[in-house]
Amino acid sequence: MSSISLLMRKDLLLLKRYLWLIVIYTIIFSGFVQKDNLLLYNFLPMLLLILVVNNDMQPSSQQFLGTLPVRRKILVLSKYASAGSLLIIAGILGGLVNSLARYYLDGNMYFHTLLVVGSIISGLLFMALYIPLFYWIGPKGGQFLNIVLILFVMMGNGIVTGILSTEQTIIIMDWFNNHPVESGVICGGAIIVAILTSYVISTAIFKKRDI
Amino acid sequence: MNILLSPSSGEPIYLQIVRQVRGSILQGELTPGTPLPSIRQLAKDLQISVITTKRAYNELEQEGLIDSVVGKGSFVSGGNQEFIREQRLRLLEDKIRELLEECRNIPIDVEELVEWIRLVEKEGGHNR
Amino acid sequence: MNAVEIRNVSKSYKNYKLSNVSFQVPNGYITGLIGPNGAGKSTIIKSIMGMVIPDQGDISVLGQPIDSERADYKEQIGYISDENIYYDYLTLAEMKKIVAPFYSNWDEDLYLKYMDIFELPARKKIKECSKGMKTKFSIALALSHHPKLLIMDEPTAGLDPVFRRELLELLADYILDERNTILFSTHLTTDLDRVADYVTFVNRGQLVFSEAKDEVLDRYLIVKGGRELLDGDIRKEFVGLRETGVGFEGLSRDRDRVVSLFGNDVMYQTPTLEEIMYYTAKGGIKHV
Repeated sequence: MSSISLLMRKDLLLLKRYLWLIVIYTIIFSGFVQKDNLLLYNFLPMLLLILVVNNDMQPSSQQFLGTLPVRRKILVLSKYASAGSLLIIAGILGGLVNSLARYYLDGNMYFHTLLVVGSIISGLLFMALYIPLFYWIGPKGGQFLNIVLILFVMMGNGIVTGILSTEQTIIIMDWFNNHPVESGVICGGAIIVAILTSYVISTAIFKKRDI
Repeated sequence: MNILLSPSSGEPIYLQIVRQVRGSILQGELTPGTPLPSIRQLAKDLQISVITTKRAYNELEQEGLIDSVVGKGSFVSGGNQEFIREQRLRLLEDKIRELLEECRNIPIDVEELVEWIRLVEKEGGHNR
Repeated sequence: MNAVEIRNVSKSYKNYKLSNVSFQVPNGYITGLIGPNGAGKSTIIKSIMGMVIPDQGDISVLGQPIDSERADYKEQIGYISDENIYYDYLTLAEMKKIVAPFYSNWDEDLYLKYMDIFELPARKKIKECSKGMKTKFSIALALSHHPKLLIMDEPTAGLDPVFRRELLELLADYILDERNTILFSTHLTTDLDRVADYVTFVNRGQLVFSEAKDEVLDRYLIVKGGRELLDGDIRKEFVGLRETGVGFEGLSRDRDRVVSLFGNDVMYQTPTLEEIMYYTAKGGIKHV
């Protein structure tokens, strides 16, 4: 197995202890409590992102990673790979659970693609911001950073809901809906640029860091 | 062969090894051709450094008491019976000197000492 | 060949500096890295592991120059830290599961053997283990991938004497294979007095010496004598000096010289590494 997949496997193993938290969270916000809750779509991916990044940002864990025969670049890359794939999985999972809940409550099984894709996109953009910040601030300031970012996301939820319901957004959304290929390319391109930039910054920070 | 080290005796560790191995060889306890433990094994057994052990073996090799064969280890030297006998005679000479020194100190004269030695031998000889 | 070569390595921190340190760790031997706490031992070791990036200087490990972007050489290194660096909420077995696949030489049978010898409970969480168990576990992990170089950062700190002895036994076992090398950092030099082949001594971020232990012990000499023998010039002969109401005890770096100086008027004694460290760290000459 390549180093990246071994590191991703490690991230999953470390996440296991939070499984109960994730399950409870998913059930509560799955739609049984509140229909189409943004706390499910947006917050579950964020939660996983924060957990997976925080798992081994402690100084001792950084030292452990430093002993492994893995280049620093790969250590950083694996964080993006783990967090990114978990974000996507969480987004899809959220959508599935929500549609199950809808089926149970309303009898129709609607999969809210727009919300799922939206949550994944915003999650990935958020990740592009979050990981370099974390590498920059380091584990000591990291706890503080987490609190700030969670507040930011919660407030962000309101803002996003607000934005989604304005007329301009609806027009833009219409355009996106009518031009799926173009919108896919635009969004995909934007995300790739954001994540690449973020990765370059994180690597530059982490390469010079004493651990 | 036993090697017993005393780190606090003041005598360097490698010399303690040399002295004891030399003793075993000269007393015939180690016969020619007998393999000695490898340097690293001996270092491990005595819990001392490899370099110290190496130094002891080098010293023994220089004295012609052991031979080292690359890849096979070290053996008690066989080709040098004459030398070993010489060495033993020299050890004997050291003891004689000690004896004479003591005689001067007491003092008793050498004739008396020789008489005494003969007497002890007649009584059946071995000490203790 | 040298397992590790360090050339002119410097590293500055806010209140501490490692200045221009050079030394070698010869292949096939045990090298002890000694010095008081805060002397720079950990910085040196972490630089070798690529965890600390020196401001200046070059480091080669097992024949290859290293920098922050090289990591493959770590597959040949068994690293044992003075503190727990593992995820302490995992069990020993879970931690092993994470570590093992990174090493192509991983030897599961050997690992199980060490777990057995050390009587380590695989299902216990790391945070529930004692300091000794944690160290044993990290030794088991470090040795189970057949490293060529074993690097230990203060491994015996906080261990009971019984296990410290066992550890030395293990090291001797490991070094039986002359392709293996050990670099062992410690401020508890009694562990090294016997087994170390080479000694590298750092003090306040500077290298004091790095050479074969036997040569160091041949060169340095402890002198004990009456205070009336000391005057200004004589005091300068000592690396460090302890004067009391009933005499003096000093460490000299030049055995022959002090012997010719004092003759039979004083007592001589071969120093231990600890004494060399003590007098050097104490530094200069103190008048009491």
